[in-house]
Amino acid sequence: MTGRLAVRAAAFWCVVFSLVAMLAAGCGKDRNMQPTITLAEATERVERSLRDAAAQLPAGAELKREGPDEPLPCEGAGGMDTGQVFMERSYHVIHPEPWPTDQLIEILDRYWKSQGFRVLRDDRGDRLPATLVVRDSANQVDVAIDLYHRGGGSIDAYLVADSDCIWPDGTLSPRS
Amino acid sequence: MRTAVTSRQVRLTVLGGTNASRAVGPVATAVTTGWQAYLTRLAGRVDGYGTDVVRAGCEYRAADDATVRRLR
Amino acid sequence: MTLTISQVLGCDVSTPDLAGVAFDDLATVVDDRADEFTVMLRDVEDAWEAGQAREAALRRGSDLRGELAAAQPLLTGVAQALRGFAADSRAIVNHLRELVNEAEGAGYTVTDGGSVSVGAPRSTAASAYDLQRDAARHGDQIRQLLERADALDESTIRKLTANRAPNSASGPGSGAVARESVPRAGTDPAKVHQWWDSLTDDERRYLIATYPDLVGALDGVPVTARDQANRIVLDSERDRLAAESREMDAYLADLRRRVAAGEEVSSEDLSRHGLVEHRREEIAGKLRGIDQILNRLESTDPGRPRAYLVGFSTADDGRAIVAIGNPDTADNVLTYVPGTGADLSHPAGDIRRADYMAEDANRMEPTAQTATIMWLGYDAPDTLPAAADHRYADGAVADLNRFQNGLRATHEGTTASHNVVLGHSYGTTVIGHTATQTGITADELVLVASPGVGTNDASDLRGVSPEHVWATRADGDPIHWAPDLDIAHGNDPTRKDFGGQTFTSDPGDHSSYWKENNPARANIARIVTGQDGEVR
Repeated sequence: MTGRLAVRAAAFWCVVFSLVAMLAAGCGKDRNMQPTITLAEATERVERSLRDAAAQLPAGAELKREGPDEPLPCEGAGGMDTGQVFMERSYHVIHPEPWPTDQLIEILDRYWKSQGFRVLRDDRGDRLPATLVVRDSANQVDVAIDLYHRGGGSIDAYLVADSDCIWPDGTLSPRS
Repeated sequence: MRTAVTSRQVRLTVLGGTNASRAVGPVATAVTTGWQAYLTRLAGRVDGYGTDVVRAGCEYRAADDATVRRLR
Repeated sequence: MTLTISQVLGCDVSTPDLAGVAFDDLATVVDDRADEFTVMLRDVEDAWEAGQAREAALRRGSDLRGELAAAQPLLTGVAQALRGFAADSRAIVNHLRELVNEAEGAGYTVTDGGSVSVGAPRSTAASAYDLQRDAARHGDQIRQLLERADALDESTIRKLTANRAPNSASGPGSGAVARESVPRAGTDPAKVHQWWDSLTDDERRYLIATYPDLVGALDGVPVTARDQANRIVLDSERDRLAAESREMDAYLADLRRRVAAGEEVSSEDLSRHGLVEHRREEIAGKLRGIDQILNRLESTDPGRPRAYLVGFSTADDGRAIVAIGNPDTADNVLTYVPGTGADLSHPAGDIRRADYMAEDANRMEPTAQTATIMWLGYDAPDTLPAAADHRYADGAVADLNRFQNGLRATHEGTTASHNVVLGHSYGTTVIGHTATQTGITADELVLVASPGVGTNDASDLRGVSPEHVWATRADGDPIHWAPDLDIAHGNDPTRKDFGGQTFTSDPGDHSSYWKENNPARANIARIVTGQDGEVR
């Protein structure tokens, strides 16, 4: 490659990548500066979504908390923290045997649709995991049921809910 | 001088007799107990050192000041 | 001692986990006290001018400080042993339970000692010979797990004993090793590991306490020892940078005071002012990054695996290698190479991605243990325009190659772990350059949002066959603007003619791949846990 061509190629790349940078940064939009619900409210809503879903399950099941306890930071462009957080709660559904684990997606699908929730993803045909994710827009929570098909025909069921990204104090505070 | 390690923090590590039927159980308990005893002793020595040094340092200062006054 | 099924299934995992968290906490406390003690000793030195008593006081103070400082890596070692026991046991218990359920579900009789026999068969479709063979296979697998539990007991006992409380007030000194005997940076990890294996526990303790910067950076030294060493390095670097920052603050405050008072300020002072401001900002960034790393290292949430500091340096732009779970004992190990913009001033986002991937894989396959590693072991381009330059990737080749070889060298047990190297954005370019130039020790490569990997053909990636090279790009990711030209990094590896495999991710931006519920996360977990057939 001649020197001039190399320079031109480098210049071209700078332009392309600057454009990518702008797009990745959301072109400077201030879309996340509005006040939000607080962390306590978000946690309450996430827990309520999971309780409501669990109440639809056949009798005999217990929920066991798994995963981190703390809220997780939200990522902005390029994986940088935005100062906002979201609350994720995850429960392993412990149940007696036999138990109709394979029907959980149908049961929750019916219930969530009756609540007017929007289906975000329906991968119930998969085995690792079979998944249904819905959006509860009123509460700004995504709820999911994941079924992991294990050896010996057993199935591990998880109920998972995530809040939207929020300011812990409900607004952009000096601490954030 | 603050205590080197507070007793609350040492107590936190008590393992108890879990997994007693496993070979690792008693060893984990013994190692934990050993650390509790060691850190408690170390905390005592660190505290004692602080007290000694402050006292000796003050006496040194007092003696020094008195000497300076006498020689003035 | 041979363990029985009921002993293994009855294992209490949560207490050792909680005790491990408490020991880590204790290590932090002891280290803080050692720092305070250093300050106090300095005060004693200043206030107490002379005399034999002063010398004695300083000598004894320094011994006590040494004892406090020496306790830190040992307490960390106990925490590692306890939490490692909990993590390994969890996988063993899950696997054993699954095997026993399977065997009993098939109608076999399982004894507590682990033998499996055909009782009254439920199905007549299979021949007696097939049933016996199947029962024997279950029995073998169950016995292997019981042996693993036995071996875990043994190795945990060894680790606990190596880190027990000192009997007498002996700081570092026993087991002294000459600095020159430490292998030089860049030495073949297999040789480093041989050297480490030849040392006594006392010598290892001495090296960790005396030359933590050397031990912490050496590929081929076990992860637990590197973690002990690097925690010391990180702590002393934080103290050093904070002190430097305070000095600069004092200098700047004095300069401002002089300007405000109308005093004459030399041109030298003015030009130095700019440099100091710049350095202060750089240090502030590094201190922020250190706090983010500490935040994860010191997490007392037992719902998260223990984090190990596998590498750390503040030199140049800084380096940090953080493992979620212990790669030396894990069945699956994922090395995550972050891309453009990654640096020591904000590692939290990349550590979090490693956390997500570990959690996803461990849920996907609870009968195995997956550890993930955030490998910021290279100088990543700071800006996207700089990402057009392949020199950052070339600069990382030797280090990434050696790091992966180190993982193989230090892995415990007889079975090699399933190792995956995953890059995001420019991280994929780093992986591509490493694989084409030196080859890479991995079982699978995963290229997420790649601008190109330096070759247009997956078969050029040495060490991994094309059916184990995976790529994904989200619709809407601006990386699609990166053209397929050889003047840059080459073609999009999701192209058919690249010759690798692809997997699905939801439409989104350049960092959307780790958002909750993005199918990319489940796909990555499938690849990491060796379930290639389930990848969508």
